[in-house]
Amino acid sequence: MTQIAITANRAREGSVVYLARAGIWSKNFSDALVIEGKDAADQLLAGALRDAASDAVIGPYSFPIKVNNDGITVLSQRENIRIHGPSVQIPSASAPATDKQHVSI
Amino acid sequence: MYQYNNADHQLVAERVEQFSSQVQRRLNNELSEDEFKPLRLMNGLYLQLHAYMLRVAIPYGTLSSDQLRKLAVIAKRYDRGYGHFTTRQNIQFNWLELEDVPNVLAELTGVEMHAIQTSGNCIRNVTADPLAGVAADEIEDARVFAEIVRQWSTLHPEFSFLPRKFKIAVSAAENDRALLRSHDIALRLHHNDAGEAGFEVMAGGGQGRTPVLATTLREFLPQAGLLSYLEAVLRVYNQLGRRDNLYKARIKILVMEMGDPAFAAKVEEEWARIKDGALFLPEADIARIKADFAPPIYEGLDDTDPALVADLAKNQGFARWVRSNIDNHKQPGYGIATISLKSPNGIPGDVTAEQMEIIASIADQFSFGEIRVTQKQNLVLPNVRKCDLYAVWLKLDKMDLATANAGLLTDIVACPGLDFCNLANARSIPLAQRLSSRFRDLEEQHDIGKITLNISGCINACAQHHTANIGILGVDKKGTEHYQITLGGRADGGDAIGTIVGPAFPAEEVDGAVDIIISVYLNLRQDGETFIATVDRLGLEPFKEELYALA
Repeated sequence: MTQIAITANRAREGSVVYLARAGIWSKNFSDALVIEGKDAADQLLAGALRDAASDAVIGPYSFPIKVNNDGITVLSQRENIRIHGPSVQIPSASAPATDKQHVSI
Repeated sequence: MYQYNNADHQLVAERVEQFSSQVQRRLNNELSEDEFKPLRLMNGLYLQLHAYMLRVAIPYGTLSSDQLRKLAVIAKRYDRGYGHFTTRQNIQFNWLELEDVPNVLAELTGVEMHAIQTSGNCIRNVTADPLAGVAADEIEDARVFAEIVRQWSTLHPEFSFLPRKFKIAVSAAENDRALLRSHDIALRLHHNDAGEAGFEVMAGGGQGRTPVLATTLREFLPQAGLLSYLEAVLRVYNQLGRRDNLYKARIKILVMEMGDPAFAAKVEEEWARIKDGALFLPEADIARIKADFAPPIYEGLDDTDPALVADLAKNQGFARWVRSNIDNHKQPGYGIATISLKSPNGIPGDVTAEQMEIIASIADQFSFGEIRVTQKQNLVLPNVRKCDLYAVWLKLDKMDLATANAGLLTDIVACPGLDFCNLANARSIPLAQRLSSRFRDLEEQHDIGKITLNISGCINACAQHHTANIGILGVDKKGTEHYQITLGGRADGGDAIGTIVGPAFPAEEVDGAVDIIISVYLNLRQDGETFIATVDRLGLEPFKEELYALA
């Protein structure tokens, strides 16, 4: 069965967020809701688009994942980079600004 | 360099005030993203993979030391301690928060900078020969005309919603360092048979998914006609350019579809109507801007400096740096020093705030406080006395800024690629890092000689790979990164678009493929023959044979 997660960018910081449950977005991919089945996916994506309309997040979309005994695998290089940040060490990287991990809407 | 007048100050201050209010309304959810997006793009604010990115304009690539120091402050205070110089002489900050952007823009106004027209379907920040004003091979300082074009194009009401973005480049030099024929319009100042200086006007060039070299619309345009002619070209494009298809909206498509003569005739027709009107450019106006670019007061020096000769003899590393990174200055006794932002395993174009501060202080001490940004993502100290070159090299070397590779194999141009960019299909930076590490031996690089290698992470071609001697394009093949290689591109005046050598290579094989290309060249080159000359002489076959030997 198709498994997907839903992601977007937060409007305020532009940072990557994942739908953790309806109306709740998290900066941690580990919080991402694993969605199975087309109906559930359509329903949650519709909710995510409503969140975008209310301006908490920008441009929500779904992407495929695979869940197995080792955890969640993300096939897309793009999504892996969004989860983990740039694959290269940025010059004199400092800690990102701290903020709360969850955004309730 | 050009100093803002009252109108400039008022314009940028009012724009910051306006955008601050728009950001506040966005933060208060009074503006939706759909409403806000065009407003933020008009102010150079993009949303990339991980964060907002602000692209700051550096008109014609000229920076004062105070401006560079301010960029360092912004990098430290609002970003993650670094900035990224782009292939269009701008700088990008990759990690800004939306609420900080008004403060960043306000800080920029303090040093006469802004982010206007660094995005959107308007006339983008005008670029120029990065060595304008100092290069030995120029007839005049191209920045004078680039500044006139900047003033004309800034918030031009008729051209704020063009079919697509529009890029203008200016040069007045014999050698093209501004990728002229890759621009929507390019202006090359030259002398006619009567000894007058005027412009060759080229139009319809561009990279992207349809690479086209600009065609010459007019061999000689008198200076007085500069703005009226530009207006005529833009007006024809604005009226006839396609708005039905994003991929066919650039002027290059219009010029191709109409044909060069028909397009040129349409422009001439419009120009005849307006050339003696309000846009006629009087000599007095040009002279006024020229005064802003008056050269610094140089010392009367001999061109050969005995101290330099001695330093060259005693230090091989320094001698190598002088060989690759110093260009000829028009003033005897001075040199133009390229600061390579391409150290082994480094990220092309990235500079830390600390490095910016050091470069600013070196510029103050040794280069009349001026710095240039190049289309190759390097910086330049344009006015260094030859007797000071050794001291400058020592200071740069301490900060990892003295790699002797300008114009050589590891002077790699690379876009941010999939590590940062929303449009990318593949990563560019890790490949640039691997190649710069693999070919780090400077002796070997100097032996290979002049060559260009550019890496774009998608077909938008921000790294201008189409006109690189070795062009590398990242593509997505069933979810995995592959890299297509082109050979034979050049943007050195004998411009050509590279030819694809064959099927794309998987990421793990592309470094080896570059190795093979270089080996074939070294084996087959004739005495003194550059890489591109060898490719031109032999064609692609010898390279293809080795690259796909096992296929």
